[in-house]
Amino acid sequence: MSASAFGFSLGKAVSSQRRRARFAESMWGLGTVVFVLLLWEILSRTGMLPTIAFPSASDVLLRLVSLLASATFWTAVGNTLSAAAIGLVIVLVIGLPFGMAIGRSRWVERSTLLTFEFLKPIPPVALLPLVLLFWGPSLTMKVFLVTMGALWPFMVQVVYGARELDSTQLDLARSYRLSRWRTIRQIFLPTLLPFGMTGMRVAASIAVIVAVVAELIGGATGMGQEIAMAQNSADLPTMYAYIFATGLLGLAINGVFNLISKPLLFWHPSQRTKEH
Amino acid sequence: MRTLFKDMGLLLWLPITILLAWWFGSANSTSIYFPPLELILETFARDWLGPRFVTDALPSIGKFLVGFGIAAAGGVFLGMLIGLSRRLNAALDPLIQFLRAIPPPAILPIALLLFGIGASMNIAVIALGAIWPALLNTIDGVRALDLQVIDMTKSYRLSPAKRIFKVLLPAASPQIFAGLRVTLQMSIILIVVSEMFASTSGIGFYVLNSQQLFAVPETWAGTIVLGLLGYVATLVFVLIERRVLAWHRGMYNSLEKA
Repeated sequence: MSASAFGFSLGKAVSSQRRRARFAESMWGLGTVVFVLLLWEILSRTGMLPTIAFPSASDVLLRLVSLLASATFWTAVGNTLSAAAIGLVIVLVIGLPFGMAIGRSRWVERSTLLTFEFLKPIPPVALLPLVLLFWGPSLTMKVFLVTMGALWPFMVQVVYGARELDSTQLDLARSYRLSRWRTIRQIFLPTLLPFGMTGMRVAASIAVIVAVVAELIGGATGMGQEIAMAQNSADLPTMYAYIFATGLLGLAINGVFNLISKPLLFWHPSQRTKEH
Repeated sequence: MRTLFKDMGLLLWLPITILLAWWFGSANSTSIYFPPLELILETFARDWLGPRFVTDALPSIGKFLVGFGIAAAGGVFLGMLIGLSRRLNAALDPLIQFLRAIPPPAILPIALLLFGIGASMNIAVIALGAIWPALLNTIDGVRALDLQVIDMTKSYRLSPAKRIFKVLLPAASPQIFAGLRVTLQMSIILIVVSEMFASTSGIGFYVLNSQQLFAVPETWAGTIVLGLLGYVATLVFVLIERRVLAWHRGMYNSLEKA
């Protein structure tokens, strides 16, 4: 009784200490960000930074704030995001069955090995001119590129996951005549989910990169095109504001994955080690 | 022997089928978008096994290697510094997280303003855009090091150079290489994209320019060159990684079996 009370109070003291340390760390981080912004502001105001390449920090931040209130900005964000999202759905639909087949069947694995190992390292942007030729600067072109770029990292993870599936468990499910749904829910899902989440996380960041490239160089509508247009009209604050916005979008997507992986994977060891 | 043949057949039937289907399917093609494979390969041989290899391919490969070298060395060096200091890590973490969240190609316009069209612009984009995976993985790798190992290096009074090259770097190397591989992929993407964005020579420029001129066989041939570049670069990297991490794989396998 007393031991548990002691343990409890000790744990509490440690956790509050840890919390204080974490607070101090985030203050340091915040301090650096403020310092860098101030330094940038001073250097650009005094002309130490070349003005043809650097607007002042305050101009960029104010432009970003005014963009956040404009419809053009959100249309651009929507265009970039929707291309990435459609591409990711296609990646899921193609990558899951193919990854499962490769991970579960030696025949499929050996048959597709050379073809996939050759296609995998090809940079997705290499296909940009070709798909521009086929579809022009359109959503189709963007979605195709996103799919080609994001498919491999996701499929590789599904293959790893499929190899982890326990044959004994699958045999057990068969001999107990578990329904297809229960087999999927209780054996497939828990094994595949952590791998699938990892794959989707990587796939999502690649999807945004490829979508921005398709817009910046291919001229499809979206944030990349806004960056290119601001650059062409030498509107540096807007150009920087959009570049920053792509970074914020990346952070937001990462945040969404953190949010959904907690309730989905709370039972998985990878989530437990986060406390330290 | 028989199983070997069987395995070769299993490995090769699909690629061969695809190539044959492409060759014969496009043989009499009159579509402007899908020229015969024979024509694509002829264009490839004419352009890329000829003078263009020296004027366009070699400079692209050179810029790519220099950019990747800077990104990799800079990432590992800074990652060691940051990873070894708790305070530095805490101070820089939010900034690093934000900068690496920016899709690297988005910084192309800034690099163009700073450096103008030329090799330094391509190299700068790779160095700045591809450094993050190497940096973050080195930080994580160094931080994951066992505290006892660090204490041990101190009580043995290892010189800093020995501590870094004999203990820290090898211990963190599996994670560093995982980061370098992503840095490599990003470097390939960035050399291609930066040459498409603003350049007057190079493979990326050639492909996009061919597309804009509606030179379809040239576009296909250039795409093949870019694919080969990505493939060969990854292959070389994997070979080097295998050599350097041979000790790690050996250890890992023995642990797996135990």
